[in-house]
Amino acid sequence: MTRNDDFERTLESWLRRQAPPQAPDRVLEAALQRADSESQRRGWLHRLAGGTPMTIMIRVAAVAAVLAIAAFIGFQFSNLPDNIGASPTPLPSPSAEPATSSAPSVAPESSEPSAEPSAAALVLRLLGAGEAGRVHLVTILDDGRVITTDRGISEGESEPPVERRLTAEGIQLVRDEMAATDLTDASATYDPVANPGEELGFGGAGPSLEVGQPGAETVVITWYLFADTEQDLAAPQPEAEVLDALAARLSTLEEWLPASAWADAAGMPYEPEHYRAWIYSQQWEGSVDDLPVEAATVSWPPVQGSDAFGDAVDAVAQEPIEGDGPPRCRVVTAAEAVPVVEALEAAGAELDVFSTFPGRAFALGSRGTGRLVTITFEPILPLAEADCGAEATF
Amino acid sequence: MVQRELVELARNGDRDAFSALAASVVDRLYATAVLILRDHSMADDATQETIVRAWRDLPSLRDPDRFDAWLRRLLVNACHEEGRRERRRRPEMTLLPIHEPSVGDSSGALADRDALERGFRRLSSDHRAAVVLHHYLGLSMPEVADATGVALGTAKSRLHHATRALRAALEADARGGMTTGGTA
Repeated sequence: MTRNDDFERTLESWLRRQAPPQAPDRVLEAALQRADSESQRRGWLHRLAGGTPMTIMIRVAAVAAVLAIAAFIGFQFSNLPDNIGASPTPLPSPSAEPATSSAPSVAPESSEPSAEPSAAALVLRLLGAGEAGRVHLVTILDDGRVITTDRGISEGESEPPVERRLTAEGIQLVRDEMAATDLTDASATYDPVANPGEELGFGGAGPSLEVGQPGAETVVITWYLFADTEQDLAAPQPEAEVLDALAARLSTLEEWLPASAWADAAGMPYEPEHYRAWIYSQQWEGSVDDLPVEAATVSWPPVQGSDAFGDAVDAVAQEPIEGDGPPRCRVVTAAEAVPVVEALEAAGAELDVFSTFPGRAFALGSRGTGRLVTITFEPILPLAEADCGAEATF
Repeated sequence: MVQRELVELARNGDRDAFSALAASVVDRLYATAVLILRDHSMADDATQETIVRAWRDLPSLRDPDRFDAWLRRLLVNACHEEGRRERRRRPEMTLLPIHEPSVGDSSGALADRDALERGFRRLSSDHRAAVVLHHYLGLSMPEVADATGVALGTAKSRLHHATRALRAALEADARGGMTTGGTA
């Protein structure tokens, strides 16, 4: 028997002795009592943002990603990198080159990109919903672009967003699909209504469908389909049922649109023009040996003062932890972000912890200061506000 | 009734089936939570939260055969959130020893137990979760990664660091014991 075997046997034996043989009765009783007052969520469309390790505690998805990653690793705020260098390469392209010792060129802070409105107009945008806020599912523009977030985001197994192009015929088929419901011409909210004498226990936002109207304001339809399983608590919701079915169709276009509806053969990774670059740092409380990739070994970012990067953003649903500063955010172009991403990637700093976050996430540790920085790049959708204060749709 | 049937019934809103399902898993959930959190009260809350979320979100579980893995993930998430919540309330929280056996230990085992207790308390909850899932629940490393929502490499790294720390605690204790014995 090896020393490893001895150690593992000792450890396993100790754990078995430490584990209580059974739960106190009150635990199950209280849990079932609470469950009795809760309805079940109705499927993936209504439960997109609640399944990740951290998303429960945050409302804004972008902030969520940064805080979640940082919290998950267990760091606290610290040194923040400054600016981002320039490169024409699109962000999603991985780099096979190792990190170099020279820092990328640094763009002046004043080079923050302006939100350049796309020439295309919105056909529709569908967002699913959950505890952590609405989550993007599909956007269609009238130039034919279709940007889709993988449905697997509901179970933490999502692929990166994909872009395809519809033909004019394809766009018309989608519009016909919406028109057939008679529910997408005017803004409306379809929330559940309790039957007389009943009380509904539901919370959070439901899905949302934005429909572009040429020459008029965008129509916004929201609904929440109550899962009325056996207690008959809510009045029937025919509109919400129809909208749920429509949403399922809109998020699975490839399953029902004919080949002639597509202007391309297959999807390509979505390459946004802008990203929200989020930086969040914390003081590491554990051993410095457990910190991730040393910040000093990466060509970027130069570790500087914590107020040097972008703007501080309130962590909406996160109670402040002593020693943590606010997340900081700056909108950057894809070209600006690429050399940073490549350097971080080549250094092995990438996190694949949160597959529900469709951007890129990295972590660096500073052993000199005992702090760690997490950095995420969140794609900004076409026609979305290119700033850090907007509620994220990813 | 087998678990799969209970899961399918509960997923369709059958509260009796869910009660039976919850009763069949609560002891294991609670023991795991106690080991990860090292606190009975927090383990109570994390276990309750796991069961409530399981009820609420069961319709989103596509494969009933994944129920155990899905539930473990809910539990680990709940433990993590509970730990964070507690940290905000009590930043310098003291983790208490929990289930102390009253008989059956030799003095050597007692020393090991104390050393492991000290070493285990010093681990982060993420590292403790890796140890508990692998060495208590007997999960494979891919299953540990799945339950904790991290990449396989991260899960392996956590377990490596945690076991290294625990082994060091045992060895330090042994060295201390030898020195004391030699000078007495």
